[in-house]
Amino acid sequence: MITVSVFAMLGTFVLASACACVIFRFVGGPLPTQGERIRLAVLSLGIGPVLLAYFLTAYLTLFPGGSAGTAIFSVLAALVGTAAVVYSRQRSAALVWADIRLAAAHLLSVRRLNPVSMVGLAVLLFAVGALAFAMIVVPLTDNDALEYAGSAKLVFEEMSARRYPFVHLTNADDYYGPWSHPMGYVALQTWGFLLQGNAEDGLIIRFITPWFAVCTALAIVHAIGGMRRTLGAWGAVLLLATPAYLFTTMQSHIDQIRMFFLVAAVLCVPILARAPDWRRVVGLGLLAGSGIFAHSLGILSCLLISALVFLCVRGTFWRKTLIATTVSVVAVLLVSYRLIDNVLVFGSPIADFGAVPVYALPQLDWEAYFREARGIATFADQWLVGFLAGLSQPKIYGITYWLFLCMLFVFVRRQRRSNAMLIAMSGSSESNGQLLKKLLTLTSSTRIEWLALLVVLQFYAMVFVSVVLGMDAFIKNYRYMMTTLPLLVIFVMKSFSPFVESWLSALNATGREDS
Amino acid sequence: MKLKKVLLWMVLFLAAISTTGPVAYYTVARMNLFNLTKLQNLLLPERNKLQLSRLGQVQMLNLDRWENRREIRVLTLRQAEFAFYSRVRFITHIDPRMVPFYLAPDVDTAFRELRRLGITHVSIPEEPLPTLYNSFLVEITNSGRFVRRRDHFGATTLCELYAEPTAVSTPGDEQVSAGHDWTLWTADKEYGRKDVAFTAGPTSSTVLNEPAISAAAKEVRLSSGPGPIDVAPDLAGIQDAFRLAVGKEYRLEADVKGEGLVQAEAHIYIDDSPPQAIPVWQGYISGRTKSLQATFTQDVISPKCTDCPSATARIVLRLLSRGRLEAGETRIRESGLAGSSSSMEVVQARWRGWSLQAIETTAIKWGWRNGHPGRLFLKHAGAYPVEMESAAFTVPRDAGASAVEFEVRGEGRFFTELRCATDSRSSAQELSPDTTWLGRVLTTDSNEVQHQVAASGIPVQRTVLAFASREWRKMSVRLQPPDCPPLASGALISRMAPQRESGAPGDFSGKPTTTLIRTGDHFRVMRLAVMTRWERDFRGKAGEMPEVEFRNIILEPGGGQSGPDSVRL
Repeated sequence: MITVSVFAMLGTFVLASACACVIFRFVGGPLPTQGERIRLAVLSLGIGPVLLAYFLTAYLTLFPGGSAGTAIFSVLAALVGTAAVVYSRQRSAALVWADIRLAAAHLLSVRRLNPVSMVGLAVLLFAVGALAFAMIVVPLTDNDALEYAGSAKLVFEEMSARRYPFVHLTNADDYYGPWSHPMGYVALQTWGFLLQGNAEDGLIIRFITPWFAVCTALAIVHAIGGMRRTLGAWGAVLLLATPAYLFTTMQSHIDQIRMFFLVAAVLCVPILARAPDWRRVVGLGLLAGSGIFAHSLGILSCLLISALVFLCVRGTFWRKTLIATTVSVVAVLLVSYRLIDNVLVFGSPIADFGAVPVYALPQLDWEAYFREARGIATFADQWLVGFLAGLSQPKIYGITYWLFLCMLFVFVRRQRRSNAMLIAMSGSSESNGQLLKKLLTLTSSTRIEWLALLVVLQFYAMVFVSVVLGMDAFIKNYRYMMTTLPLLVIFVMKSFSPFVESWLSALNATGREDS
Repeated sequence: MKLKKVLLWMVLFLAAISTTGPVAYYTVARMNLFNLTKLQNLLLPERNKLQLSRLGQVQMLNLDRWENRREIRVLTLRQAEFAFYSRVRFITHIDPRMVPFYLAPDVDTAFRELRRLGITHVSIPEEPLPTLYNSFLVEITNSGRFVRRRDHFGATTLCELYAEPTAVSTPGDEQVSAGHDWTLWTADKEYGRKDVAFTAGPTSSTVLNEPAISAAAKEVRLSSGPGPIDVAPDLAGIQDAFRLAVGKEYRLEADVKGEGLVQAEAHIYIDDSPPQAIPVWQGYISGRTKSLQATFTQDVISPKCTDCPSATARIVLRLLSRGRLEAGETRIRESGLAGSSSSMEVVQARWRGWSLQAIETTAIKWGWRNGHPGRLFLKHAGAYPVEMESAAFTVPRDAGASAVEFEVRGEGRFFTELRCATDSRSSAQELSPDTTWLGRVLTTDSNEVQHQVAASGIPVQRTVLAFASREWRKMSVRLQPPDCPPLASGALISRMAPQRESGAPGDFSGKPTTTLIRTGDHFRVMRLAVMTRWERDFRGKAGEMPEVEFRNIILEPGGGQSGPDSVRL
């Protein structure tokens, strides 16, 4: 029965999240603070399924051709086994459970709500409900989602990941899938088919993307400070109501997974920066690598994270470089099998259009098509429609980017004022660079908006350079420009919080005087 | 402080609306893709939801005829639905095994390459893709030499190929017009745009369309021949002007240069009718000269003529995006299909069947063929104030049928009406020589049907029935065909409403499935159109329209007909 398999899949995701919590708790290294423990517990909701996908990919690559039951059992056994091994090395058995309870309290406690957060919560529940509804009842229609599902169908039917990607075809083959992403999303879909027992019905695989959308929303709620904060729920609302994010989630795209891991990695950078243990370095690398495991563009996120690590970690230049590089190396190692296989299949680790022979035929003139059909042919197009897409295309991006611009302005003004105050208080005039350093190395619970802002600015610097160099790699697809959307939302909400708090407190203070 | 409170609530309200709005909108939009706004459809299994889809590419996969036919292989320009939803064998246009096809030096070799891969059908979406417009695929899929049948599913077209191409007598030697006689081009500029530059005059042929932002570009046209585009070109004194005979297949060859999205059309002028456009080719050009070649059939006729003269034509090149367009030599040649005295006969023979959803039947000239009973649904999209009409099914007159019997349920007032085919593209909707209907992409959701109603003077027999029943009721209508003048009639197109709102699993509904049939002046076709007409004032939503269904349509034979006893449609 289909419903049973859906619950089974969600159940395995929860189980995987619990295992991920155990494993990452261990990776979180010695003596994490309470805030860090909560953070890891929240993020493990999204890490879990990808861990599952990784084990499944490994299983289907190493032991192809088995039965579905064996596959399910082996993967779950491997997952629970790893968690058990790690668990046994924890100092206290009760720690993980305590973490989960703390995280739940932090996220979901709705006592002491005020009108703003209540409305936010109501809107959030509506948005999540509508999203879930649309996912459950409407079959897949989007090209990418259907192609990934087609791949997963073939992987499921052959019970083997060895032929993935489906590029070298025999006469009996139909489907041609010339993309070089690792198997993250496809493996999750295959997992769904395994639990369902067939690949005929698409219902079960439509739960994957919303899971990650909700995980990203929860990560945002956590970053803002939990549901008890006035704007906690509104952060998640802003993310889900941005049209691009909304309809790509409804269409079961792959980007939600990639974006989740970018947020997760950014949120873990302060954990690393506070005490750069080798375990934490590896952990952050694995997080960044999971983004690549979903979609090759995760390599970009990996670079952004490494740059952020470089900025945040204290120490000598060489130490910082070493740590940042190790993060990237670990990330790439995680997907090394896929990269090596890609070289064998395509001739290069990441294959884009060059991998498709038909695109290279000069008589077909694909160049003209790609240039003209995307609407980014002129100079003005590339900058207004391409680089500034978030501002110029409200139908796709809503008002989120405009809010970001406003909050950026407010933020800068606030920083300059507080800098001036700091200078006045300390009596000395620290340089801006030293102040920056001081601000960056503060711990996880504060200044998260600095980190989010830095990543967003880094991303846009990258896009800027690429457009100046005449490349349209980033601006050709609105989903690429959407990469830093969750971080943007965090920044907007954190910057806006002081306004709301002061407004509400002003109201409360005078509330009793009004009639 | 009260002001602050009010302000806060206003901002809160706005924030709530602006976030729940998009969520609600996209949820409903997604549900509408599969007609799921009707609650009972929500619980259907996925296979049945797919059958309710409004998307042409999904509808196409619902055909019974796909099931279990291993000899079928579809060349598709969009493999997504094939990959997941269907068991039909397919090959995608960017598959490396297609490279020999694209490298083929001529169209026959290219077709052989397709057949070598076992391809029996081609599925084409609406958007122009280089593998279509820069290869021989555009010629193959538009020519009766290679394509046995064409069906439209929304914006997706499905072509069934012949196993072997039809023989060609003298391939394309006969040239209908000498391109170099065309010295007059007029640029047709969209009014009000300052940033469109064009050089007009007798020998110029370049237009520019370069707004700062691509999205702001409007369309620009170049048309051959003198005078404005709405009027037939005055070709006095021009040798071998474009005169195209009805039913013949032609090849358009044009050299275009520039950048942007270009569409080449043949505008056909007959009598004093407004021109009808036959789209021939659409694609992106860039930089170097593109020698485009594509095939089309002149299927525009006028009912006023008993022996239809050739139509005059213009070639129109439209620049649909920003860019520039320079038109060079253009030629139209006869496509040279082999056949008897009239190439039209061959053209007729190629386009034989038409399908109404799961029903198939054959044009009467080649005998009866039993289809299998299916169901037709009539439903209209959109909210219309007063009345709508749509032909339910059509029957060739030469069937000699004396009566038609069918079962129907639903509600509304409907009548059967016998009408003569008047022109190649009209439905049986209006008896007008001027009725035109663009038959290529048919969705009744869009308003691509052009109606110009004029008095016809052709007698019409009507039987009006007021009808409201939830159960199936059997009806029988005697046929007394009116005295239709001996017209040359053209393609027969049946059109059905696109939506189906309810039904048990297994019922097939769907987008209009239409096929072009070529007929010619060798026989007259009269269509029996059973039409429904709702006469009440309806202002509700699309999903609430009353619905009428027909099934088990049987034609009773008339005298002197050498076919089996009756034909089920």
